[in-house]
Amino acid sequence: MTNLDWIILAVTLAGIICYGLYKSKHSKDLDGYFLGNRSMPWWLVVLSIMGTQASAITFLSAPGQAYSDGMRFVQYYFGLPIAMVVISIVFVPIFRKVKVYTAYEYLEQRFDMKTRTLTAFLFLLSRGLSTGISIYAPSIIISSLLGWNIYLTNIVMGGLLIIYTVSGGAKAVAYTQQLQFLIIMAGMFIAGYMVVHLLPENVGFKEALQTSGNLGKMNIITSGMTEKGLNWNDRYNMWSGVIGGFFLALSYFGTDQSQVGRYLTAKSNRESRLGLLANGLVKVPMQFAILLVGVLVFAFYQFRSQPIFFNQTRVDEAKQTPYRNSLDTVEQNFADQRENQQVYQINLLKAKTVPGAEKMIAVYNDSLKTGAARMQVLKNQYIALLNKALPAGDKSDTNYIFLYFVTHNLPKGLVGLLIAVIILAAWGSIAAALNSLASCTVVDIHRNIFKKDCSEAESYRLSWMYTLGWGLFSIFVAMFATNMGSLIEAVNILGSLFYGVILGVFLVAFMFKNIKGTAIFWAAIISQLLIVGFHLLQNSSIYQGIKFEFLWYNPAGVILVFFFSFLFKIFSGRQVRVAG
Amino acid sequence: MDRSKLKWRMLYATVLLVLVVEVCFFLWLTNKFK
Repeated sequence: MTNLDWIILAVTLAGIICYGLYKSKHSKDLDGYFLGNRSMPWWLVVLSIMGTQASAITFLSAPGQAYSDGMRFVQYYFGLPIAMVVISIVFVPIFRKVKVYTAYEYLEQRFDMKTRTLTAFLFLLSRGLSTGISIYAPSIIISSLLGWNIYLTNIVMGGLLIIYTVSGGAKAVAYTQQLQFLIIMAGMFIAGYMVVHLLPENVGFKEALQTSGNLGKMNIITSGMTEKGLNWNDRYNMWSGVIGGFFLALSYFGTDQSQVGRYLTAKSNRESRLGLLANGLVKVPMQFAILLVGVLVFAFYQFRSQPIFFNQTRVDEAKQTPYRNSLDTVEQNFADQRENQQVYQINLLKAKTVPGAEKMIAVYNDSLKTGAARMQVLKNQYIALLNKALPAGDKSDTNYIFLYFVTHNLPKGLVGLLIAVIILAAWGSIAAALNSLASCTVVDIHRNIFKKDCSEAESYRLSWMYTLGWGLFSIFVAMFATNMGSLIEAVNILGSLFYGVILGVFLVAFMFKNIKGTAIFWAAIISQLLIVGFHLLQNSSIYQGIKFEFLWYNPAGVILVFFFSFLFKIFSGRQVRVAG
Repeated sequence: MDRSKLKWRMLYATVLLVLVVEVCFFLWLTNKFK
């Protein structure tokens, strides 16, 4: 990075933080701290909702995800607009009618204290863990740029974040997100434009898509069907996207306090609904555009020299070990293969301009596919060597691909702005998550379990303390996040383990008035144990049965909670009759 | 049906319709750049 980049990075970060602190100056009571005095217009709610989801992981990991696995990840968002409509119709009026601070407060009114506490606990566990992973994302950037140790960077980044969050409030988060989100979208648009601009002369946008498509990266819609029917172990396809994605989005936006808190801050039902629906309209095209940047970066590296492994800090460290020579040999083979690929790519594009050259096109296409497979084999060999040389640390480079592209190819100044934007995205979403963790802990756990009555001032002090506590917990979790591969997938897998059950509890609350607290409490516990147990089992070597990808855990959680709550209701009903 | 309810229903239908159009567009893109 140049001096200009560093100056832009520092000015952007300082500017946004001061703006947020200035805006939140008067937020001192609990309503203000958590719900922003319920005064937000819908356009601020939508920016807040989108900013909360769009963490650094989205901008750092999603283009890398498309680079490695193609566009099919976008299908995961297909269930989201449907979920937005359902939440607007069903969830929003209920939550706003009972005027709650947290979504789980409603469960005490509908069921009992223990169900509320259990659901809040599941939320805190899942959100606390994924916030830890979110802290790891901006740490990747800083450690790559400064060559700092990743663990030290986690502590510094996490510490700054805690200061930022505890000194502001929900409103500060929302107001800065509004500004951040606009800068982020502008930054991503410029990055996308620059990739196309940097392509060779005779390669335009269409040719770039064709180049990526030839190597299977334009797999936007996949059916997931095999001769034997639906492949449940296929991670992203139309069906897992629409069905699994719908349940995941319904749970995330309808029951996760980090999101419910966002739209409880709206002025009215109308504002909340408009915010959610606008999110439903914008989310799919936005994610498509971010993934498309990754596919364009892939096309870019088909014509330029690409490193075999994008995490340069790890490569440099590994080359200090006795594995240096082996690494160099694989690197050289990879470079030779890459040069062949570039020749094939250029010849293919030329052949496409010649009429009647179909046979040549087919030959070049085959050569490219074979070459890409060879390059993947070499990359796997290289990664195996890296892992032998350095057993600890991040074994995947998915999260580093976009960062590498930005720092090595974009013009001076823009690099600083984009990095500032990604760090801000992280801070916005983590600050919102820490706020929601603290509000949930105070309102759903502390007030209920430890002390029933506490003054507003005391609640404010407690929320401050819990924000600090959750911040420290997240830093602790970030220390273990180095081995999770693609972060955008890691966060969603983790969420899916809990979301189905939490959603199941809320849906039973809304739909089946005759099911009471004890039945739902035990149904939730057993369903949660089954989901986590199955996840661990199918990832172990002893499991031989059908495997299910993580998106299916969401509908499965709901079905299990329904099934067990009905079973316990019938069982307890019989007991009562026998006793009577 | 009152006007306000109708407006909301049209808005919900629009969100879902936009999703259908997007999926059709993606299907076309997938086939075009196979």
